[in-house]
Amino acid sequence: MEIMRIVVTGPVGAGKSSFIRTISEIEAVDTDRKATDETAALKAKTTVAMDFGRLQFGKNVALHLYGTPGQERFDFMWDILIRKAHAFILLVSSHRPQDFRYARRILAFMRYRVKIPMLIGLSHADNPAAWPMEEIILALGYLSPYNRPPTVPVNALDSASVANALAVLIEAYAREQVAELSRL
Amino acid sequence: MKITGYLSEFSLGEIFRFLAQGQKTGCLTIKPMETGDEVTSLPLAEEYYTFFYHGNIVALTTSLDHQELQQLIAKRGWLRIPTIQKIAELCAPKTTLGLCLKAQGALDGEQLKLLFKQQVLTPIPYLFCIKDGWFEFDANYPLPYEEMSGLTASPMEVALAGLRLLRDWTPLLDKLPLPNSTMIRQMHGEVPYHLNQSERQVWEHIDCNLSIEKIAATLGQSVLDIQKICFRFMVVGIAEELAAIAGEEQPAITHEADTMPLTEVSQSFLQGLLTFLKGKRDVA
Repeated sequence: MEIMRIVVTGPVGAGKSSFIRTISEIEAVDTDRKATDETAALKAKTTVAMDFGRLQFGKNVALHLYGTPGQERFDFMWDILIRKAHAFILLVSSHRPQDFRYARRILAFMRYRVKIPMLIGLSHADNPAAWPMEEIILALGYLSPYNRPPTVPVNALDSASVANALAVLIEAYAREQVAELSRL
Repeated sequence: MKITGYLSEFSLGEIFRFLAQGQKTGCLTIKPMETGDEVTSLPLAEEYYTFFYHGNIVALTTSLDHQELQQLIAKRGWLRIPTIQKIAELCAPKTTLGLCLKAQGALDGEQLKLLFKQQVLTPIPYLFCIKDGWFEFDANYPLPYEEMSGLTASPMEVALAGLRLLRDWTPLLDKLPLPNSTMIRQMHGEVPYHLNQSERQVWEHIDCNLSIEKIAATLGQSVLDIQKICFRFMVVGIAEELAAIAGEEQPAITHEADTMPLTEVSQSFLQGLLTFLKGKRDVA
């Protein structure tokens, strides 16, 4: 069985669990529990371990999706997930500028631990308080327009939107793979 | 383009960094909701308007009537308001009032510097003492040339000054880098800002694979004080936080990862997956 592993990460409430549930062909493994810390103000439940979803698209070929825990800390689960991952998606709520700081922290954490293709998915982009995509990318620390990860709006509850985000990421992965081979 | 939010969510330092790094032009409105004691050093107002031009601060006003710079000049006894207005008519449109008056020989460069200090450099750092407030940045707001001296200030320098003034850090506590994080330098060579002695000491210890806690222990200072200094470094864009995994003493990493994982996915796998996803995307 050939498997590709993608990590879905992002601040609390960005839509990680929904993203995985929307595209997964199996009942996504649900580790949501009642939130007890500051997360409770935002969500009644949050992911305490990880979400898992699977997409088998042919004989012996499957995509595995892993959602990072919702709390704003990095634990051993993160290390396990990202070291096995082929690529990752950072989901960020467009209308919650308070989340950009933690999203930056995730980006730095990932950048110094693994070099894998990534995509930024902007959820809640239709909210009246949503920041424009260009401004969010800047707030996340990408100053040059020539050195940015692919970024797409994502509706985590819509399978076409989730499929589009994954397709853009897979294309980025394929490009990166070709570039890496040419460097060898 | 308009962006809005609350300072409790996206602090003024982060807004200044965003506007400076994005080289933004427009008007930043701040409407205080909760203020600290130090705010008494600010002119009393319901709203503060900071104007940016290509990422630099060019003016601060408390109203949008375009009269404040004239009033500052008149209060200093340098020129009467009717005289200022007559001279201003002689200058081309989109000339800042300060440079217009200087070109006509009515004010000199030193006077403009004093005006700019009074209008921008002295009050803006006190905006950092506003505990919470609503903000809006409007990139379409036209520049108020009548309020501009023609001088500019770096938002980073002003933010550094503002965060040094701050006594009550309560609203920023959840925004500080974590005690077990390390800080990574984002620039090499000379820091483009004047650092005070404490900042200089911390700067020399970051990038050495030491967590904030360890830097505090080494320098014999409180962890909170080091966190505050590191936050200032982050705001002015010279350092970045690298978080550790809970339980790990500190991340044993000082440079970015530079290779793809060895277990790559085959081309046929990627093609099959792409076809599948595109089908799902187009059908739905």
